[in-house]
Amino acid sequence: MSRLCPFVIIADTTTAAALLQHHPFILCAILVITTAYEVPEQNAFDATFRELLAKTVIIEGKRSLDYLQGLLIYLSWHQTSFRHENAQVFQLLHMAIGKMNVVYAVF
Amino acid sequence: MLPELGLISWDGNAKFEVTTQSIDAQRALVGMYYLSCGICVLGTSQPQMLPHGDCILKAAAYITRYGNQPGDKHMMSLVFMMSRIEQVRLSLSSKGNVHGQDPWQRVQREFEELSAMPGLPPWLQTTLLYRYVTF
Repeated sequence: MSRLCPFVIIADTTTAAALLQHHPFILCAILVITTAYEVPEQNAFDATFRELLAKTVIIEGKRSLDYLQGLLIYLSWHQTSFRHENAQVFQLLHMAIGKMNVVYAVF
Repeated sequence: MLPELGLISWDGNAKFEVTTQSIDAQRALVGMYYLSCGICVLGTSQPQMLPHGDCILKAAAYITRYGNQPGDKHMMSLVFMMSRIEQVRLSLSSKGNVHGQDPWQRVQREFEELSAMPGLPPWLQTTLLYRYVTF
């Protein structure tokens, strides 16, 4: 995957357990995009990803690189979870960039 | 949010201690720019929310200098390519003809110039071809 998305590097030796412990958001994003051929599982992981995003970022207001990297992975394969009815992928992208843009404007 | 993520320092200066996390943070910034170009400008014609600037260039240069992954040495090429595509797209959407040129001729010329860049990796060529087709 790193060859196709060189913006998030995960070592070959990293296990799923280690990801779950240290980078749960990245693991959840990976599970969403790698279950493209198992629709029920993908829908379940997708729901979990969005719930985790809402809980950590919106409700708890946490900010971490894990969150940004997870969104990067998720949005890089946005075609797997694109929903025409609400185009939420764009909302997620705007939410991430909008927060970055506040500081970027003064840089 | 950028300082809190370690993407820039609090005083606005791009002075980073080289760590794995600092390089990861720079990769994330360049990746967000890449996505912003791909989805906002080209995919949906929405306003570009993370425009090209010094911050992006510094991040790409930082990755190129200190990164040790195969894709790191191509980050400057990637940023350069996306900024050119962004410029062409914006100029096409503003007036139609650009400096009296046929828009398609300009797109084709830009595509040929970018394709001729030395050492362009396969994944960048695929991206470039996709962007060209979706114009």
